[in-house]
Amino acid sequence: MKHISLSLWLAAVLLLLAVPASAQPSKVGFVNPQRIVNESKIGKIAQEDLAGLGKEKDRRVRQALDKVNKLQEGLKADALSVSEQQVRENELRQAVRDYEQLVQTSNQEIQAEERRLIRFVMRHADSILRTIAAEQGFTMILTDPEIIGYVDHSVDITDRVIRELNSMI
Amino acid sequence: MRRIFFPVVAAVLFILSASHAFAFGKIMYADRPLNLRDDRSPRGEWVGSLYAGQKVRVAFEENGWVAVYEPGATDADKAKPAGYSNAKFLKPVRGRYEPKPWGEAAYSTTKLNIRSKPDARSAKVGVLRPMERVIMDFPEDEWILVFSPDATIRSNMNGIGYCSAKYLEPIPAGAAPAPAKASTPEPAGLRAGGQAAAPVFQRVALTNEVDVHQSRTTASPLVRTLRPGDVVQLGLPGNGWYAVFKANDMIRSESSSLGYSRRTAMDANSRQADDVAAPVAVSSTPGTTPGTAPAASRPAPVVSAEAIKSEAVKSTSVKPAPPAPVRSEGQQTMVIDRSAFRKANRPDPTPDQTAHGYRFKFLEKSETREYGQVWITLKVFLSTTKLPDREAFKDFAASLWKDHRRVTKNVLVEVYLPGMDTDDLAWGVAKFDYDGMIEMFVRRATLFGTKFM
Repeated sequence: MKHISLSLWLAAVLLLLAVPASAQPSKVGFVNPQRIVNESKIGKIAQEDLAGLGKEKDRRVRQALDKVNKLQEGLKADALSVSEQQVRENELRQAVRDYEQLVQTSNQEIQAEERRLIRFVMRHADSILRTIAAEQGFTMILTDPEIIGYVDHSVDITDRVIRELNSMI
Repeated sequence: MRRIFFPVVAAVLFILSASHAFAFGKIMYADRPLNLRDDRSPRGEWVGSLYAGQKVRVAFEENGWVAVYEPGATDADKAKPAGYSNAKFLKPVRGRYEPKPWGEAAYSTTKLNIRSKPDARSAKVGVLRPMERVIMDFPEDEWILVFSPDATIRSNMNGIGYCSAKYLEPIPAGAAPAPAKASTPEPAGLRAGGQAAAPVFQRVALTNEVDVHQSRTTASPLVRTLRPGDVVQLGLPGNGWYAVFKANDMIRSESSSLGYSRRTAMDANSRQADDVAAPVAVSSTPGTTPGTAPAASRPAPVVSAEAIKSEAVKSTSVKPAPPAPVRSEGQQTMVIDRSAFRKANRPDPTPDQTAHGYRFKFLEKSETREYGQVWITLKVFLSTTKLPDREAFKDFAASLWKDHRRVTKNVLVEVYLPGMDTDDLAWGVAKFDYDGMIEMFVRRATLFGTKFM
């Protein structure tokens, strides 16, 4: 009985020693997409592009608003027959509808364009990410800052990705 | 015996002489895109155009100029041709074949007058019955020229007359094939002589991943991604897209397809498995348009693998599947799926047209509906060594818009420059409604990795 017990203890100790010896070191990296978009040159250019689209949309919205204002003023200023008044009111209603629809679609299109541009920048960052991961032996790279409680500076490769991206322009 | 023989011979001779009486002139083919004029002179006014390889009937040659008629014309009226063209550009045998769709199928829900000019006070030349199908083109203010549904020649001398555009309802592309396209003759040499016209489908094996979309536009939802090794059938080409079918589908129609894939992507990432025969029953027209002839009575669109390959790609060599990523020992996983971000390393498309001093190529023409509006999307590759400035881009886009604008539809021009991935975001975007440009912007970020940045 004593021999059996001793053998079991010995086996358990050996097993505990063997586990760390056989495990491969796993290295997890982190990259912050928001910083890449905000701080890289291509990200900044993409933001300028988005601002350009915003201006263009703004111009169209202002034009539509001007049209509404003009119709409103015309309705107040002129002495009109009943039928004429009705026609102009219909025109105004239509112009207001067009204006509201334009505001709504412009907002939707700007949001969609923002998503497209971010994806575009991240696609280019991603190719660099792969090279860095292979070079530094990462088994996994996390990209969502929301799920990270703490990141050691040594595994945060955001700066490196930004540098590499900038060097390509 | 003699009593039977002579009447039979007489009947045959009579039929032969009668057929000669109906036919006039001769069938010729345009050897390049060709202008039609209202007079036998290069100074005559432009009235329309023929695409390279278009089949026409010509007659009454004078001073090197011929009168051009519909190929099926039987009325040899010297005063009513579809236009006049220089005879030296018309050949008896088809060479180049670059069909160009034109016009838009439409119908009126009410009885509609057809007038000789775009003016309500002009003479009435006919009446369009409710639901009668026509082709409309050449819009002028509130008016538009209507053509017979069988018309193949785009010329304002070939139309029936003008109708008020607001009473005409366009027939959606999916509801019925545009008559102009449907009546387009097939290119010579595509079929063995004497075979009945029928759509040809090709069976291909994928060598790389290709996306399948819900409709013939990249803006439509992704249905699935075909993997290397998958075998599918391709057919019913249109607007630069194939309809994709299961490998063993026998009945292939628009409604039974898995979805649609871009021609260029499919041609570059697949190899021919084998050609398959025409389907048992093809009905690419799920909805019957009022007032139209049955689909079976119209010539079916024909396409061969060779024609598609020559149009779509320069090289037909099959690309090998990409090698598996090399992993250093001990590494097990990568968290990001890179297949969607694989950088396309394709050569730039070869431009084949010129506008505003720029050489360009249409990559895709499609129609889509967004926020309740119909958009004609033109994806264009612009071959240039210098980045176009705002004005140059605007002029170029406007010239494309002028050729494609349609009543009640908007036009979106998306421009790609050399070095860009034409499956990714475009550099220049210009939007037009029927009256003119409504919006224009460029994405400088898309020039990343090109010689322009």
